[in-house]
Amino acid sequence: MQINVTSADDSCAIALEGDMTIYTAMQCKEEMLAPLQDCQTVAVDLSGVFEMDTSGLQILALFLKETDERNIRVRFSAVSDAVQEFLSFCGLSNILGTAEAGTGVH
Amino acid sequence: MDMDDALQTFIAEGRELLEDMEAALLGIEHDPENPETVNAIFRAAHTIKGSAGLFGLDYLVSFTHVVESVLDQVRAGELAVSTDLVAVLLTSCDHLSDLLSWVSTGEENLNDDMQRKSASIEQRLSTYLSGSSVAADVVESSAQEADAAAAEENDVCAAQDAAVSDQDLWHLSLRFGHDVLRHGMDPVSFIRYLATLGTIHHIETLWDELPAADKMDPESCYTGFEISFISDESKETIENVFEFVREESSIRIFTPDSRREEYIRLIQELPEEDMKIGEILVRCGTLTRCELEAALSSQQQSDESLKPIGEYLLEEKAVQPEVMSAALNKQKSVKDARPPEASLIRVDAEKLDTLINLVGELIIAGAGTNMIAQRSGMPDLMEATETLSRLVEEVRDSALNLRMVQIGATFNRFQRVVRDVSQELGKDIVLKISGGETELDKTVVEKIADPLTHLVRNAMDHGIEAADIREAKGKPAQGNLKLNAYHDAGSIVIEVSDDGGGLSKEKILSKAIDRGLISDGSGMADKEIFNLIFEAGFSTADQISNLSGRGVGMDVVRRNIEALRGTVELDSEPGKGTTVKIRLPLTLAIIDGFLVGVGNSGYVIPLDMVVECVEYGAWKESGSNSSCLNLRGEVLPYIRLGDYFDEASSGQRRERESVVVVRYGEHKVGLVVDRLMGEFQTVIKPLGRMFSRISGISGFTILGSGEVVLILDVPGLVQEAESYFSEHEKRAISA
Repeated sequence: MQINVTSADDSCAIALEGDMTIYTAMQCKEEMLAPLQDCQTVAVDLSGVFEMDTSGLQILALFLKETDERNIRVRFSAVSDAVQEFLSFCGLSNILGTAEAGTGVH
Repeated sequence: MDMDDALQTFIAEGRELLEDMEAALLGIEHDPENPETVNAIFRAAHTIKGSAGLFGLDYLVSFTHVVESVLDQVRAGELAVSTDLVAVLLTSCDHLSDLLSWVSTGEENLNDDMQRKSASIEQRLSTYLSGSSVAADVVESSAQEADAAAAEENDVCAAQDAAVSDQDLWHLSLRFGHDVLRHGMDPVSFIRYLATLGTIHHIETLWDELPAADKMDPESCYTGFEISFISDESKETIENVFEFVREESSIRIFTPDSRREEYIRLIQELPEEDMKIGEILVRCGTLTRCELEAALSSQQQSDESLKPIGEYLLEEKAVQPEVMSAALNKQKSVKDARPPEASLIRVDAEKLDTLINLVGELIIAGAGTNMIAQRSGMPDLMEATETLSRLVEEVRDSALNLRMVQIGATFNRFQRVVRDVSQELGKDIVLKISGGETELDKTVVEKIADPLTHLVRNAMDHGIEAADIREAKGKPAQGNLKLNAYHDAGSIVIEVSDDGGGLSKEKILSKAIDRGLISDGSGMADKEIFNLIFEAGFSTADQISNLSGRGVGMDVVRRNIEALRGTVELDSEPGKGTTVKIRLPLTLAIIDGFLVGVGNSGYVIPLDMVVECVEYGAWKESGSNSSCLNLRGEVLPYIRLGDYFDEASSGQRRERESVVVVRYGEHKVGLVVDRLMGEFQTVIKPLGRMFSRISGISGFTILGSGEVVLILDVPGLVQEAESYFSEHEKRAISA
């Protein structure tokens, strides 16, 4: 799992490459939440994620919950087909979109 | 299935449940906050009631119903656990056990005595129910009203219902256990598999349990799902999808024909907010909005007007007319909740005995074959019989193992005894149990319970002092009683020890002289004096209480234990306490034997008791004529078996004589024999009554050649050698 974080001013971009599964859950949690300390907007690129399981989904949920609580604006710049399929199977096909809309309201 | 068989199973299961219930009741006194314990008690009562209903045992159902009602209040936190309440519940437990015994008599109705007892306990229980039976009636009628109202709403909803869901929807409510991910299972993959059995109509993923980031463990599972599902599969097939996670997760599956009440219960039971779950159910298409509103409002009503007993009755009424499948599901979920030992198989004890007898015969026949093979000198045949006897040995061990049970269950029963007796005596005594996993033969376990009860009561009554005396002596006010078990040299040792006042040597001696048991106490070791209390007609208690002290206790204990080929001894330290050690043989049927030759006959020594074999020649030359040998500086009393059993010398010169050193408890003794013939498996056959008084022999066995040999009673011989030795010693001193 490769997680690349690039930040400029109060915004940052997180690009994930690899599988979001139980094997990488610990790493994902740490590296995805760390950049949230000091930024206002986050762009997440999930195009490099080719496999996801329940633990990966939980990390994503945690990420959304945290950003929501801290009033951080989240945008998913790209999502792979595998992740899109997984989310829609779980009845969550719009969480990536609603998260962005949701933060707008706050 | 034969109804009688089913009934027997019910009675046996009922007894087990009552045992669990009793254990839990005793536990709850120390730990009233633990919801699991209350649940266990409730479940036990509930299962008994349910099964009794199936058999139409009305008297059992109605009694258990009252018990269950009280337990339900405890479970709901409406009723605090008190010593009195536990006492009543324990009495109920006992009465339930009596009722089960009554069931086994096959009588349809209770006799007056039992009925009166039921009524009086029910009376005591009902004082705990919030409001009396009158209130219950009121509740029942209002429950009926609520039911009627619900029925009306049902009609209203029915029309909409038909419109919304003309296809049959299953509903699955899944909350996965925290550890499923760690166990290598991915919840979503289960749902993917589920999707192969039908079509997922709607799915909602829930994260209400997801903690804050710093508390969240990425390898724990916090995810839950609500799924509505279209499928023609059976409930069992759908349930089996979650087979591997069922234990640790909460999996609720509702059939398409599930009643509205069941969903209401689901809404209540799920950790998330009622309203939210209700919304989800509507989105899933499981409930219509109309149904949901009706459900939530009727629930509110019941919250206000009906106290838990009302809810309980409502639940009852909802359950009664349920279709068979739903009733079965309920049964199943109750069964699943039971601890895993339910996977045991019940076997008739007689079948086991037959098996062990057959194994015994097999061993004798095997030994015969072995001998013939040896004599024939054919290497192939010898090899084959060698393999065969190894297998037979394994079969023997596992057959014997079938009879082995852990002593823990027997020990745990004493929690109750200790509790009751300490209350009766007004002493504060705790029971500590260790070595409960030690295994021994089932028959022995059954027979040891009585003597143990005697010892435990004795220790509590006479051993442990009253709290004020204890404090005066500088001991903690709470008395300690310990039960311990362990294996030692082919026998099992059970210890009953207390930290009481110990035995008074002087009192025992004067009493023994009074009773004419001994002439004077000079020269007696402490241990010998203590063990006098096992003599018939001995009691040192100053006062006779109704528990013990009539002088019939200890000698009965000893007789019972000796009947099991065991021994009992006692050790005591004034002011510190007393320990009683019971030593019992591991099994009663088959042992590994060590065959020795004396003169022209063979004798078998139980191999577990043999420590070593030494050549006798060395001592013979030294010309020692005493009653003991010097074994590497240790004093070893010995017996010449040839002299002891009056065997004619075989004519061989006795220069190859050997000493077999045997141990029993703390005593070691040497047995001088002519030949050592090796070990072999021995089936113990009891001697006829005519020979029961012969000392030194405990049974006989048949060799492969058909020859009969005697089995030595090592404990008896050890005792004899010891007493002979000490007499000799005394004479030597006085001379």
